[in-house]
Amino acid sequence: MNALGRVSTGLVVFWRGLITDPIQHGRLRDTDWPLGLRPIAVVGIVAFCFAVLLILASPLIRAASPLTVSISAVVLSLPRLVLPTIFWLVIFSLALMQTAALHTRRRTTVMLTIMSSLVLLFLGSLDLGADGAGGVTMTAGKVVSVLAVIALVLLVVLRRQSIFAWWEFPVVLVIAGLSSVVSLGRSVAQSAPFGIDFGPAAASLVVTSLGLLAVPAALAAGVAVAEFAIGASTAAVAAVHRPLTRSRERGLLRTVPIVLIVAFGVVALWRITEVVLGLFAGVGAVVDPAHLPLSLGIVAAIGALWWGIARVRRSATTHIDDVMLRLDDVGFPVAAALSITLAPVVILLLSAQIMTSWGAESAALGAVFVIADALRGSTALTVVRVVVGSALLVAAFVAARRGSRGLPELLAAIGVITLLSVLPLVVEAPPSWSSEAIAVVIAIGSIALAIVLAARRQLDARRLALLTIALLLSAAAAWRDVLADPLSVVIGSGGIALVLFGFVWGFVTDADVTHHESDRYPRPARVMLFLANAVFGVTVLAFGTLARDLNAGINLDAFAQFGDQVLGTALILAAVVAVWVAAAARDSVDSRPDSPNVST
Amino acid sequence: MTIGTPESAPEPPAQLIDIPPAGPRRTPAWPPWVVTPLVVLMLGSALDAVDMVAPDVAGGTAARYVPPEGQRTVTVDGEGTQIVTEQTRSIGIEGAFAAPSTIAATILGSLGETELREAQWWRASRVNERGERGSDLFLLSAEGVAQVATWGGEIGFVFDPAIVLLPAEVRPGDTWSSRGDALPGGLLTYTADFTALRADGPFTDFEGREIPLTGGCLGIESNVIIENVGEGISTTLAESTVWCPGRGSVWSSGTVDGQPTGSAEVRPGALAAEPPTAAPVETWSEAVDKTSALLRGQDLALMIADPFFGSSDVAGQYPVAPSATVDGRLVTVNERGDDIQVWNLDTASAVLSWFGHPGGTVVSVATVGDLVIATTSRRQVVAYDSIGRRLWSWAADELVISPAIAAPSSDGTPPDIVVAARSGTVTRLDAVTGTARWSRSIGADARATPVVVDGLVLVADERERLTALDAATGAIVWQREVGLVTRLAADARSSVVVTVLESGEVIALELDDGVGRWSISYRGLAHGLVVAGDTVVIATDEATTAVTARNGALRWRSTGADAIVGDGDAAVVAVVHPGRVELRAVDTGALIEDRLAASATSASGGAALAVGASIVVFEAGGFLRRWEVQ
Repeated sequence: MNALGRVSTGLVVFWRGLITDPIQHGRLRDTDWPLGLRPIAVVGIVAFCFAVLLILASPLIRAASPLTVSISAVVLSLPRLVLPTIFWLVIFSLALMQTAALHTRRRTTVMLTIMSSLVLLFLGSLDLGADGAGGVTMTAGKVVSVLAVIALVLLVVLRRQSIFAWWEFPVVLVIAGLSSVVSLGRSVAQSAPFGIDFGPAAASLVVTSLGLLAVPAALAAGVAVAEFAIGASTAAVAAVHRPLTRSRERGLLRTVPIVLIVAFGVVALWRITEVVLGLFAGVGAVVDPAHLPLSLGIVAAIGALWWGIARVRRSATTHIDDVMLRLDDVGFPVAAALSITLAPVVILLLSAQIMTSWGAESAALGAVFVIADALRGSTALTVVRVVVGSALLVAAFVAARRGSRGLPELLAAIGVITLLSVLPLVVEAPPSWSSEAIAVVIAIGSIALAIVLAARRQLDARRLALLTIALLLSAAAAWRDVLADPLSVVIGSGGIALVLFGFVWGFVTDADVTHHESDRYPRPARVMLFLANAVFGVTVLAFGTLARDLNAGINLDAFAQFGDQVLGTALILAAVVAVWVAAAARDSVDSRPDSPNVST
Repeated sequence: MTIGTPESAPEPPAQLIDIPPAGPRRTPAWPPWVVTPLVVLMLGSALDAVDMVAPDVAGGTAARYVPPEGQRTVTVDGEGTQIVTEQTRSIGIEGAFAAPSTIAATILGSLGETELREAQWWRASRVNERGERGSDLFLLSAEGVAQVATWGGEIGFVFDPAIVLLPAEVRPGDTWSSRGDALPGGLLTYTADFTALRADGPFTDFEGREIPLTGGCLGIESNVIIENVGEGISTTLAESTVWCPGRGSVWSSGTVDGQPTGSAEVRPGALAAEPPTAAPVETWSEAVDKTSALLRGQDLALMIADPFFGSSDVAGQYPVAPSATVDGRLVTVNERGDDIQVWNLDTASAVLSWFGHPGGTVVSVATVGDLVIATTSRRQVVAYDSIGRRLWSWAADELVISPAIAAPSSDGTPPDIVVAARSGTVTRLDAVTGTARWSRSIGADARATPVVVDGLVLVADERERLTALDAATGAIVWQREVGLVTRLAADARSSVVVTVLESGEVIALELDDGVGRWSISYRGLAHGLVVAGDTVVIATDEATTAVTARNGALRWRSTGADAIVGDGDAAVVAVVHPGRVELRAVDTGALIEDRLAASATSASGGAALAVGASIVVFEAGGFLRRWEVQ
């Protein structure tokens, strides 16, 4: 193979490893779908793409259309013309969710139907009547919303034991849509003669009230940059390693391709330079030395847990691929667990608003808000994180006892970081860590390991490739946010770019769950829940982007940042330890990720 | 099977008969592909169809002569006096309640609550170079355009029924008349007769310049008599007026009791600011030191004083952060969000000095030199002089959410204006002409209020960067990634920039090059940041903390606060709590004074600012309080 061929092969390997394979493996695809599911999926994909387009084109949309502005705690400014589109996307997501609920396990069906019903009743409650006074006035919006809820419940009762039928989604959409159109139409029509544009307020109310339901998706989206960065690291090394076979035959680095040696040297030099500059000159990835002890402690703790898991499982062998493949199983459930209190908050807030419109006593509503605030407060947050973190550690060892690979290590790493996230909530001046400091620990650890292996004459091609990956992962730990930078240039906000990157990457690579089915969650329900989650999440983001302020609805960026911090950091650390263990093992099998077969 | 037939014999060929298919009938594939997208599209169309933004404009074809919302019109009268008029279009109760309470009550009685809620209004608010003000209120209805009231001058009127100025389907040759009361209770009555004519022109102003007639202008001859027969009072206004579509009355000429009157529209572009009539008051740092005494906080009643109709109490809500003029007046935005209000303060009340209507929703207000600067939902930056004349407006490329800030000039001329649009475009405007001196994009959405200090404009953005621009040229001097900034302050003497971040950190940077100097953590929600000399004071809902600007070392700490007030030269800061204000020494934190409000009611979460030697606090419940410092 000539040099040009090797380069092109390397590029193909890199592209496949980074982009093609994850998408082929994780995209939404027709796996023996029943009749009628495909059109729903197509419409869902179109809706998702449309919402993404709204986000990308938001500066142009705002520039081209009049803005409606209302000022309270935040300045809410929206391009007035796109508000019906936001409502459309929300109701579409709702219909997908409720149609899926017709065929899920009973408690899921009940929960989702309650949520759908509350949303419809909430929209109905926006119709305050001709005098605008609300109270107990019976209005068309309220009546229609009640009828819609009854229709949905009847549909659930009639269809729960049946298999998916293509007409269910259109029927649910007609019920939800009709109710919403009547409610929103009447509320807007009644306020317009008074010079009040109710549309923006209603949209803000809807997105603010329901937006918390997008938090699990945002948390999970936060891990996408880390996932992508790890993919880039492993694909880059695979691209260098696989097509180049000419090796040194003597010296410390025996049987190692020269280009791999060069690659390791370049990456090591880069990392050392950056560590020195970051630590001592305050340039580049600036590192606060005060963050180093805890960062070292985190790496050590995860290493110790890794050792414990290996002892329980009686095997230390876990590939980086094992860790990456289990991310899809872990990411969203952990995100959902961390935001477990938010669904009750949504239910309480919707209930309170519905009760207000139906004339409930203010004292009862006060109690509802107190509970909702408590569920959102720092105490509840602390309790949830401690419980989830501890449960993850326990689950890690349970999974290890069952012989699972990748999953225990990932659970343990997430558990450690989750428990650490409680520190600022309970300690006055907690010790801190940072991604940059962790990157320093990884870089120094990887180089130290390379030196030890070289001194022992064990630094073969496999180990050098692994350590190159580890060094690249240290860069990923410090710089992974940069991956969203091209998007942020277009959108003008790094926060929005990070969430959008996560949503889009998740949409094209995380649909594995729809490739299987079970009695409790048949395939159509999985596909529709996946679509509902994706479309709703990106709709909430679109609302914030069109308002040019994420605080206008729910600040998903903050949740995505937390997801990146907890899940992303844990994923990188789990991957690093997997690589280190594989490199340090005497006779372990190659733990490099498999590279795709490339014909030249 | 037939007996005798071998089992291995082949089955007879199937007969061509209709046999019903076994099992359930297979559904054709096309219905889902047609119905599903169709229902989705129908939902989108239905939501779009019911989303009515505004009702149809009332007033028939006459409404087209009414100027649009927010338009500024400049006219010159026979004496050469320049009159600036701002046009307001509104719907509902607020339109009537912008007038003095006597007028509002009369309108409510005349129209009734139901009709009032849906009534469409046009208000024309005038101010001349001497600061003399007046307003006319018109109703757009099925009858056409009718004048309801006029106020603000030595005499005012409330017309009941309203005088129809332009019938709904007015055409040249039409004649019409109105009769009724000109003041409540028949104190004055009016008789008005009108004739519509074709306005062929030419019409000229008092200097002989021709008024351009656009789009089918209409001439109106009118004769209005206002009288009190019993007391022998009578005034006659005979006038010829030219109305043009979208411009209102562009030319008029006539007599009032035989005395000539009239006006003509001019289009001057930017107006020159009138010099301020009041002297500047002391700034906070000039007025307050460690020996100052603080009086009890007094509730201020908001009042609109009309020379003819008397005073009206008004309620306040303050959605937009207020500001203060150099002569000690308060600048707020009304509850509806569409008027700027400037208030004269005394010990017990705030009396409306003037109001402006820049058009759309007011997003921010600020004062720069003697000017009041508003930014609006129409992406406009609008400047008013000290007597409330709209001087100029400038179109930004996006909403300008943060208040405009002053960029001092080096040659002693009035300071320029720096605005940062949400799009990240930072612009320095000439305060005199309202034109851009320079404009620069920082490459991301701007956030927090920018700061101008020591020849630099500091702007934070949504990509977590802080950018320093050269205030003279707009060139980027330095740019650093710091995090999401919520508050920003700087001090030239300490050569420091202090940023409060959303992440719970306070980071100080060198002013010259943006290199990090120190960082500390804070707890709670940040409510205020002041850099006073070499001390940085940060207020959150959990603690008020002062650190040195040099190295971030703790100077003092006290309880959490709603707001803090101080400036760069202050020796004392005011720490604002619900219903209570403390004066503390900046350097030591020593408590100088601690005063409650005179009334017991209080609510947290309000804004506060220094107006001369006083603290004005805007509490969340709508209370306006003033703590005077002596």
